Amino acid sequence: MILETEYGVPTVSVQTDIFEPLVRASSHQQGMPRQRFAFVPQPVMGKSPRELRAYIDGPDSITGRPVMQEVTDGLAKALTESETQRVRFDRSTPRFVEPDREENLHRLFLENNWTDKLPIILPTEELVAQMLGGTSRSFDEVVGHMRPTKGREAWEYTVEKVAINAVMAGAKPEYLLVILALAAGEVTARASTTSSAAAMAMVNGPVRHQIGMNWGIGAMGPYNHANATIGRAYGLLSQNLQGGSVPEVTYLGSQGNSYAYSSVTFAENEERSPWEPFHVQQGFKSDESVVSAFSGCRSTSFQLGLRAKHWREHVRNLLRGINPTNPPTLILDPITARQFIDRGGFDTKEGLIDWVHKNATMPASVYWDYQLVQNYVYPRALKGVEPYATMLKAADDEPIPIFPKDSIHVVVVGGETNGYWRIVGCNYGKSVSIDDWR
Amino acid sequence: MSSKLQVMNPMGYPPEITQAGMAPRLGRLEGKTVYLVDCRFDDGDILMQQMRDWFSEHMPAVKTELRSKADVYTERDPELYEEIRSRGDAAVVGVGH
Repeated sequence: MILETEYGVPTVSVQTDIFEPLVRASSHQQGMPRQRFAFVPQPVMGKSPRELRAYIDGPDSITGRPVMQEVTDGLAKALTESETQRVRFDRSTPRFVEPDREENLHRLFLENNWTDKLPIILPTEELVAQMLGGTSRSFDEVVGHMRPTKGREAWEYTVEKVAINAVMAGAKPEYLLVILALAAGEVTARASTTSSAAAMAMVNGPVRHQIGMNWGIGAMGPYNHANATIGRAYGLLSQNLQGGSVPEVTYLGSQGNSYAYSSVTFAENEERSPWEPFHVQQGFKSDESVVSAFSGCRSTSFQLGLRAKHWREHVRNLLRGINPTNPPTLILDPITARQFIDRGGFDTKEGLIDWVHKNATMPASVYWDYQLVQNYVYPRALKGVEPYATMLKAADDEPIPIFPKDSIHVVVVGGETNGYWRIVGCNYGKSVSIDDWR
Repeated sequence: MSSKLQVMNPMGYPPEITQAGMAPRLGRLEGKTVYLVDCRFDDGDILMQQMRDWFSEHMPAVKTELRSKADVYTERDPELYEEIRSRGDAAVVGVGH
């Protein structure tokens, strides 16, 4: 669309048919509701040249007219009256919903896709006012902007809007400062990627004690009110404050992701960790309260402890189970954290991260052939972005590091019932002060 | 009969939309240069190659230039866009984005 709007070039956009609702909504939001398209079948990925030629020779999946007629007419045929007329873009968000009976309001929230399809607490003015008691900030202060994916418009939200979603999630007012900090981080927990990503949120510092979070047994599961409702609020605020997370329009995750129900929210076990807390690694003081948001959570691999003889090979195997574009965050029970010190001598998280960077390797030709590497890394390598440009020069069978060092992270959580640990493929987004929202 | 409740709207605030004008169309494609832009998403390059072949077979009077974006599909490519504006007449962008 940029070519047409900013460079004045008549353009036709070729899309696969599954994306029709999304691309039409996106065109509308970007001010060109009559953008011209041609639609071919989904998927394009993995199809042979012959099969894709059949797409080109065949009918447009939406209009039924030949694809190339849509293309050539789209470039040549004069704009119609409807394409040149002024369009009204009236959009606003009222502060209140039209008053109704409780059961009707629950139905409305469901039908408007304002929930995660589980029962919610209706955000009455009284409950929202109680929630706002959890911060000294003004209800109308702008907290941030969020969007479902790059290229979509960013919506704005205030302290009150965050509080409304916190009420819906069942959170207590004393959790609001954590939820506000997550909202201020602007890392959406409802990304619209076709890869079905979820978010992860981890809390550090004294606030963990103050609001009764869990970092021990079952910390990442449904066993603690603060963990559960903060995580749920993170998801609800993301979908509602970014303008929706509606399948086909603002959510395209092909398979979906059940991590999204809770946004995998927990506190780091600082007391039993042998290392520096995560927020201190990010430049905060140990007595500050901080929440850190991760995105792109999909893949998880796990094992029990570290065996004396082959622990290195076992860890390398786990690391190769993570997609190369989805770097590893090692989530270690304190038992395993201490085992990494005993087995490998890693007396800091940084030492372990360095080992992971050097040992997570694969032959260059295998790395570059991954579809997601082709989509997201290869173009950057061609453009000269390091370290990818240098990696591209490697011989086909030369081992190359899969994950940039600064993309690898280590956190400690768990109640030491055993030395199980896991690796989650995800992207660290941002750490935000919670104290700033008191 | 239960009484009516007033509750608050959980949605954020959308940005204003400014209408963007569409570019005038060409009338005829013969003698024109059409850039076929591969966004580097999945196997879109192969699809755009087929479109180039279609033009050479069915509309040989149309000159096509097949280009891949210089970066990831989510990023702009100002150099390519400028080239299309100065040397081309129209563009087909695919797949997606």
